[in-house]
Amino acid sequence: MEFKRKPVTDIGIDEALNRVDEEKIKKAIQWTLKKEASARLKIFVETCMRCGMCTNSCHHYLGHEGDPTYAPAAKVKQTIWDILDKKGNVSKEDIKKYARIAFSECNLCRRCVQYCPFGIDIAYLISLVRRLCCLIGVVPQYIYDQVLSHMQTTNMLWFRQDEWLDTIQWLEDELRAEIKNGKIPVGKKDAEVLYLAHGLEAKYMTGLLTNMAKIMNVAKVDWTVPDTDGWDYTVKALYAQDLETMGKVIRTHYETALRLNIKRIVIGECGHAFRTAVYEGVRYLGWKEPPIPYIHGVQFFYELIKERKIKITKKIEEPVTIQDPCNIIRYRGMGQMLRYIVKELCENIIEMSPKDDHNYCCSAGGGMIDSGPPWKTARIEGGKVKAEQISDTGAKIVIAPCHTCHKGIEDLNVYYKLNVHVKFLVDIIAEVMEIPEEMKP
Amino acid sequence: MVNWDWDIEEKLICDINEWKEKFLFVHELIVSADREKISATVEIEDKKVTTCINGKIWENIFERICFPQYTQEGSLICLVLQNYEWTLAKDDSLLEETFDYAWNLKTDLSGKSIAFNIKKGDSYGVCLNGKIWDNLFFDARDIFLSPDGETSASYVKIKNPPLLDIFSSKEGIWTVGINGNAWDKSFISVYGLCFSTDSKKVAATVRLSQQEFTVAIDGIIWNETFLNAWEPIFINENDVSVPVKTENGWTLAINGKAVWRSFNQLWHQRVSPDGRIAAVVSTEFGKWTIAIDGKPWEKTFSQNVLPPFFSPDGKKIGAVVRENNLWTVAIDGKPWDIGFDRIWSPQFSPDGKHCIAKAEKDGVYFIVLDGKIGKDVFDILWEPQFSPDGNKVLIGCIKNGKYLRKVLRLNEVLR
Repeated sequence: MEFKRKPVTDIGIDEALNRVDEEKIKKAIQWTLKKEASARLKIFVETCMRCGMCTNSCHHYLGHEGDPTYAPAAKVKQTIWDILDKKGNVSKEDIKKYARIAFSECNLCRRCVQYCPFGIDIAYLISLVRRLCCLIGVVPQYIYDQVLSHMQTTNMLWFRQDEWLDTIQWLEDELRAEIKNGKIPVGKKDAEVLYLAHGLEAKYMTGLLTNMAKIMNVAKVDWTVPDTDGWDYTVKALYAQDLETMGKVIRTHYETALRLNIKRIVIGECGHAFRTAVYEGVRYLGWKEPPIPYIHGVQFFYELIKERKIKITKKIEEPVTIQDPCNIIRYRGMGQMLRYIVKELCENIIEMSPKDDHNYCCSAGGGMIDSGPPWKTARIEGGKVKAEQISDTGAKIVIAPCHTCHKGIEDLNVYYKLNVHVKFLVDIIAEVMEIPEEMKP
Repeated sequence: MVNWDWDIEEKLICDINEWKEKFLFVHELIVSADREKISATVEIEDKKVTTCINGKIWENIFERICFPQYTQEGSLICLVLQNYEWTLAKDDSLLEETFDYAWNLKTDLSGKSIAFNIKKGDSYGVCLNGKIWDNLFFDARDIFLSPDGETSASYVKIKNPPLLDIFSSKEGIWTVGINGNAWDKSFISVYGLCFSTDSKKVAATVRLSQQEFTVAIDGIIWNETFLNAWEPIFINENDVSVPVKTENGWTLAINGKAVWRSFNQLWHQRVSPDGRIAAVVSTEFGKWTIAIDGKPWEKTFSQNVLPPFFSPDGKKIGAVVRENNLWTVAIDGKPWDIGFDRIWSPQFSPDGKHCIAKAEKDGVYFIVLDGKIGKDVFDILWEPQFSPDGNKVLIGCIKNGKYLRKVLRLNEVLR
């Protein structure tokens, strides 16, 4: 089994390794494996029978024509097992290889877990590799830049506080072109819902925020957005396994809601943020469950449509297919809710095969798209199966209720010439819902 | 001005329904501390807003009004956008100075000092009592005022490396700015800024590297570092406590030394009037409670525990807690036997014998006294307050669209 890869340069890995000494590497390994790794590590290492049942479950393996070094068990063998075999005495070259595998060849999607006869959580093992890389200071540059921003600003893109507030204000002005007295309340105390946005919704994808505001106004939701840091629900520290920053960001989200005396937090269509806020982040902080309800966009839209708080006036006629984001479907079982919403919005749904909790990852998740241009080829190659799945449906629209899936599939669309449009639920709902006459300007 | 009249039992201040007929849009309602005034930002036409107080509007018209709030003295202050420039408005008078942006409006305890973050050109800082900091920065986030109102502080960015220059950012680009002067040292992250009780010192938690956190006081860092740390507080004029993470878990450190046993989590430490330290702790995964001087209550709560509050003599300690999806109040480890959808800022009576709060259940608001629901329900209710002698309770409320100021005798609150 030979590990052959095209060279890729990422200063977050290569240059960072030039700046660390062997002692720091040793310390990080000892700390991660002895102080932080739980009993799971020992059980998983001792339980794996090397049966290979996980191999065909992985889109990276399938996307690389059966190269065995991409098989999930092989990725563990080449990282954690290698470290254990070498008793932690590993070289910088080893770390470089581990980082490449952990950050660019595993999306932490947990599809392989479903095929392991023992349920070994390979995503957990790869996360441990990321964690020790993070403690060494070896993290892809594009992820790390966002994490550094999170550390102080809480948001992913170094947004200043006035930039967030100003953005909300001009978005509200735009909203009023469509909704009479349309309002995006900022820092309103005692509202029912605190809406947190994706960082990109405040800068490059503001239409999503406007559409969410439109839905909130039409559904007459008592809502607000934060007037302080904590408005961005993303937690890129999860990808780097910078647990310290992850905990601080998640705590800020909940404390913002508690300070404003909000009943529940609602976020848009994002997978990793939900995963972090509902289990990985809250558990790191010591909560067994979210301290107040934390609702994903899919759950929220399901509620609005089911309770007829918004009325759908026309359905999309073009054939659509559904992307099941791993973090909310495989991890959290929202597959049927998602399908209920899509059926309410669309006439012609053609499912991918396999679907729901067995659907393939978009190949952009788990931080791969956040690793930036150096690693784009890796995710495009890993996304070959996803591209084939989409192509086989013949659908013209892919509904992807996750920012990462959305952008990842857009890139697959261009590379594999799929000729589809990728859409968020929020955009479709804002397009097809009724705006009551009295709310029109 | 403030009118702490405890004799008038009920007073109709104004009819909010009329506002809704008179104006295009009525924004969030706020009330003064003495409950004599109610106000809202109102739209008189599209993108033209002003402030309405007890039914009367200001003469000034603005494009936007943000952060409206009453000072302790009863003045209404807000940040306003007029002719595309931001400034401060206080009781319908405008500050002469204008800004490209202004936000995070704060007052000190007396309400006399007013500060907010500002942007001028591409530079950021603070305006305190009408005076802009002499030095401005690449960014300024959040605002803090000393207890005496003389000093303002903000987290400031003192280096501005280009995007993706991770190595420069890792060296530390953030620090604390105090009255426009930045600390010499910069950090990857700085948070939890607080002033000493005598207003002379400033402390903040700083992050030196991935797992090196400590406290800086007036820019000088402790010798000890920790795996993680939350927000510090001064426990007196000189000593600082902070929750820190060690290899054994979370504990409380005072002046760099761990002084409590370890917990699964620890935050929101507060000093009681009698000098004890209470904090929110997780004794084990999913179990939360209050610890006093390191000793946790026996009773734990599975979902959440909010920061502790104290009776005026410090003898009783309470906290808002969440269990089975309902909020309630626990006092000295004993929760009330009734739960609510929400509960707001409980407070002890001056003699510490009673505890009162505003609560919500099934969409209506009411007063809760010592765990018992009050006789009245309200459409909107602001937090009840005890009179100085503890025999009466002041409330502001809306019933059938009318804003009322009420003074209830304590024995009238319950059914």
